[in-house]
Amino acid sequence: MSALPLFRAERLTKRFGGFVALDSVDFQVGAGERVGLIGPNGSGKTTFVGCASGSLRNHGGAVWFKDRRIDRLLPNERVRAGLVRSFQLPRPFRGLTVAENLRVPLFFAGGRGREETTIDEALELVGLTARREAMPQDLTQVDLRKLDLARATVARPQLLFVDEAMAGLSHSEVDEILALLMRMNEGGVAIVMIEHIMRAVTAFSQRLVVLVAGRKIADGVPDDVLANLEVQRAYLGE
Amino acid sequence: MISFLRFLGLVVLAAAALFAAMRAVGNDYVFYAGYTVLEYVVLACAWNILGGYVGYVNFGVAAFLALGAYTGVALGKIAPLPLPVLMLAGGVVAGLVGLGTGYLTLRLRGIFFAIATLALAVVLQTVITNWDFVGGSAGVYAIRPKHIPVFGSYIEYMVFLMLALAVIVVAVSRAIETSGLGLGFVAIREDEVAAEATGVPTLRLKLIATTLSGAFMGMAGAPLPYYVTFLEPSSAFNLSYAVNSIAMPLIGGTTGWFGPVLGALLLGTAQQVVTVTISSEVNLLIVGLLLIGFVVLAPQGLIGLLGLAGRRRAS
Repeated sequence: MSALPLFRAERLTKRFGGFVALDSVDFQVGAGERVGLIGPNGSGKTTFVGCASGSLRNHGGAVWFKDRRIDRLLPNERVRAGLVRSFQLPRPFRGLTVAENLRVPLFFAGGRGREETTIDEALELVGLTARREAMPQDLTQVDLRKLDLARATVARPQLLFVDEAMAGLSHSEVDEILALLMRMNEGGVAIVMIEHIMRAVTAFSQRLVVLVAGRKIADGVPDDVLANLEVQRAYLGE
Repeated sequence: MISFLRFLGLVVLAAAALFAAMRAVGNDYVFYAGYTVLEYVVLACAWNILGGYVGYVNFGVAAFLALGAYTGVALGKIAPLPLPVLMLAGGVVAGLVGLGTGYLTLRLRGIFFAIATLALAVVLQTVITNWDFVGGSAGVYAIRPKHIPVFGSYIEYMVFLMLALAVIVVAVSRAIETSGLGLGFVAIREDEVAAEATGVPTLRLKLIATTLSGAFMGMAGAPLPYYVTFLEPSSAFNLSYAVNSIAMPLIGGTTGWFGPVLGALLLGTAQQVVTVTISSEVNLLIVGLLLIGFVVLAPQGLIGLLGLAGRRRAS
């Protein structure tokens, strides 16, 4: 390994009581990389995001971000460091307008002295400019996903975990979000996409990582990974 | 900044007008009743900083109030200090206890946090009841100084101080609402997990809220021994303090400073009137009925009913 990876989980382990949700998972993400994280339901994908972003505490192993060990940092400290997540179900601040939702990370996440224009740029990026003063309850599902991503953008991530941002969306809406994530990636943000929609994952990812029952069973170029017999067994059965 | 100073000026003016009006009536009873109402303005606003802005329900209002009161009693036993100093001391002690309570309990959410604060009140009451230095279960007399310069009577002086404290609490509440701190509070109230994921330092913000809220309650409690002149634990820790301090913001509206002020002025005054004209027992019944009515019919409080709720000012 020549350069230090942006993100590195080493032998990451998480248990819920006697249930091992993550079992010594090694996972790396390079700067600006697009990684797809897939696996059947209950395989530990969201748990992994939780441990990486700090909403869950790992029981074993370590998480590194750039040159810093972060697995004992609070979630908000990890956000400040540049590691941001979005949620499986959109979680807007429902009492605040779209623009005010973005003011939260503007104030708390991205460093001082940034202007209101950051909010406008983020709204422009996701295409919500016209909904600036709308309340979250008046937004459609796909707009709520966009709001989540805009909020993440304002936090100025270097690495973004996108947890099933496309679940339940129509074909064209999936394409919209996909294009949006590509734009964010072109801006230099490394993205880990957790997704069940294979069409989207394969179109997006430069690399695929597969979790099954808390263990990583494959990690590599999408075509190779999808051709892997163990992966096919996990998805399709014997 | 300029709009804040203008706001502060208006609040001071309103307070001054209120004080002048009470003097004009020329009856000490107005001050006795007014003191209680103002005390509730402070308690309701203080409760609202944690309960309304951040969304953490504190049932231990009486504990913080009594901490202020008994800090005053303990200090008064050591040296005769002026009331403003006792209020500051009560604020510091209650603020520190607020900080500690926050640190120990803020991992608890929702109803569990509320129960923990109720437990705090029970524990503190037990401690005070068994602490003879401050009177223990037998209670303690607080002798008011005979002469007080400038003011006509001691109760007038106490009302003045409570009014000043109310101005400070309202100003601080408004400052919070229009600042980034308030934005962080709202984010925590709406969705704490999302707030963390958006960079909001939730633990630090919640500790600021518990400390501020506790400190103001303690400051409001410091003059209590001199108001009742005989203080004993069961009255200092009376649950009605918590019930009222929660009911007032809920009835007025919890999203801004005006809600608790309005709730405290209306409900507090109504209680004083009912106490005199009907009975002191009926006033709690009224609180209960109003509380149920508002929670069911107008969860946004009077502010919501009047269409004043608005959204957070975009500063």
